[in-house]
Amino acid sequence: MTISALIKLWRQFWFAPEDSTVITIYRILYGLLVLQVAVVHLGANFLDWYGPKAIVTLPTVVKYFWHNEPRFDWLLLLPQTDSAIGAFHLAFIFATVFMIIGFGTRYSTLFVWLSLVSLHHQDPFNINGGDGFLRAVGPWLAFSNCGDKYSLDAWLKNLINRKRGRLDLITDCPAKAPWAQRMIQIQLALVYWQTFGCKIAGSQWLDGSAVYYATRLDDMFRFPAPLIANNMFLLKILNWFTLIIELAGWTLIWFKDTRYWVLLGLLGLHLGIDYMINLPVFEWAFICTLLTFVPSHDLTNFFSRLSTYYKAKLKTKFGANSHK
Amino acid sequence: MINYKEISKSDFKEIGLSFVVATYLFFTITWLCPDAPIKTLILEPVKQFWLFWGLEQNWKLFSPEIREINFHPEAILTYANGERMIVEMPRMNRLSYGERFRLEKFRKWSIDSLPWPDYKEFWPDFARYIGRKHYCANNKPSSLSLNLYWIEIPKPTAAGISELAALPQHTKMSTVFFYKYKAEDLP
Repeated sequence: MTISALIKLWRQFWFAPEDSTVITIYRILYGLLVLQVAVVHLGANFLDWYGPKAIVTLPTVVKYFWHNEPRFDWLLLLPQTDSAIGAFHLAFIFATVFMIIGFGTRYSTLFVWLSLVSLHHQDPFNINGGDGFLRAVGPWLAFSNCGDKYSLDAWLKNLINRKRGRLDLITDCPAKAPWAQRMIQIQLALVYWQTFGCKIAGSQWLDGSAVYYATRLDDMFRFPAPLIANNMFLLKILNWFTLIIELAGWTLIWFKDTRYWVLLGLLGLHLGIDYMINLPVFEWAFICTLLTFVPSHDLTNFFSRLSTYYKAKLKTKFGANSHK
Repeated sequence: MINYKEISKSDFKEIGLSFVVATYLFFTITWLCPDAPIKTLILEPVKQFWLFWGLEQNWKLFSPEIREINFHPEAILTYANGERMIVEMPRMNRLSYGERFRLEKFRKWSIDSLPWPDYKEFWPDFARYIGRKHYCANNKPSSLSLNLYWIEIPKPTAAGISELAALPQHTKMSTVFFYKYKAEDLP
């Protein structure tokens, strides 16, 4: 392979224009997950975690976690009072809603990401891997074209152009370089790469007992599945399946021929964990990100087939009834 | 119809973005590699920048080993008149599905951080938080001890495995922290 062929491949991967349907849907899903964190998981306990008299106070975090080095934290700019921290909580929720509906999308997404960074710096002990993942992909989402579709921004832009009589400027949305979406895809592949590497470095995943132990952590119990959890043969199968699918999650996922099988396997893995183990946000952060691997035209085709199917079904049902 | 094969003419923006993504990926992949002197050397120039913006990451999910014990921490608050109060962190297996979901952050903190010596600098804050939460002006809290109750998960053997419903209770106990309140700790 020549250097110019490599450069061509690089440019094709990062910059060949793509439709933005997938990344805009991902923005909505990401926003809903952050909203879940802000309202359900932090909600009424926000001051217990981040207030001036929190479980872990800011001076202690600065001294023992930041080691007196600088960290980004919006909350340092605010007076350390309950009302100021409470107002920040509200601003965080509003910014997340703006992000979901696509209003001032780039700024609201940036605000949401920087707020996640601030909250994670302010109290690093209450976040799970899902929260960490949302923080890791946040900057790439903010710099993507995630507001180009299904957003108030796009709707307003078209409305203004229509009022000005500039019908030539009214578009569904132009295809753009998907470099930021690629970064989100790579971020997910990096997760599977490291977790796979760490798993095979331990003894439990190699002797097949890991899922047995994982399903017996009583602080994480969710819905019961005794037929699986009490059958060592099935637990071993799940153990090997986890290793294989996580290996595929950073290798075979990049090839068109195998991608959908890998996505299906990963979806099964995360849904299975989410059913048995209580880790809100964690599994869904990864499940939603799997969507970024689906090309926009496949997704559009899928939804249009689904809509045709249901329209036909409704027509049969109500059409038949109207004749009676 | 979008022509996916078509690539716009290379410009400064592409070169700049290529530099950003290549740099980010180089340092992030290095960050995720196993610890080694070369890794420390490579990350030294960017470490502060990475930490400042929260770019550090670690995905050792359920690995390399899954813990082989079940446990829960419990605080015992002693008041001036000798009365004692047990303050239990939310125990997920004793909550409804909805409460487990809502209180996940308490689980994360009380299981992965609170009882472990690596977090001992944060214990006095916790003691003060509990003291304020359960403050009584006529009978002030005088001390707090943080206890850890635990039990090993039975190992799977050729004879069989421990069924979920038959997992043993957390019957072993150790005190991990004791705190005597000072006047300035409480309202």
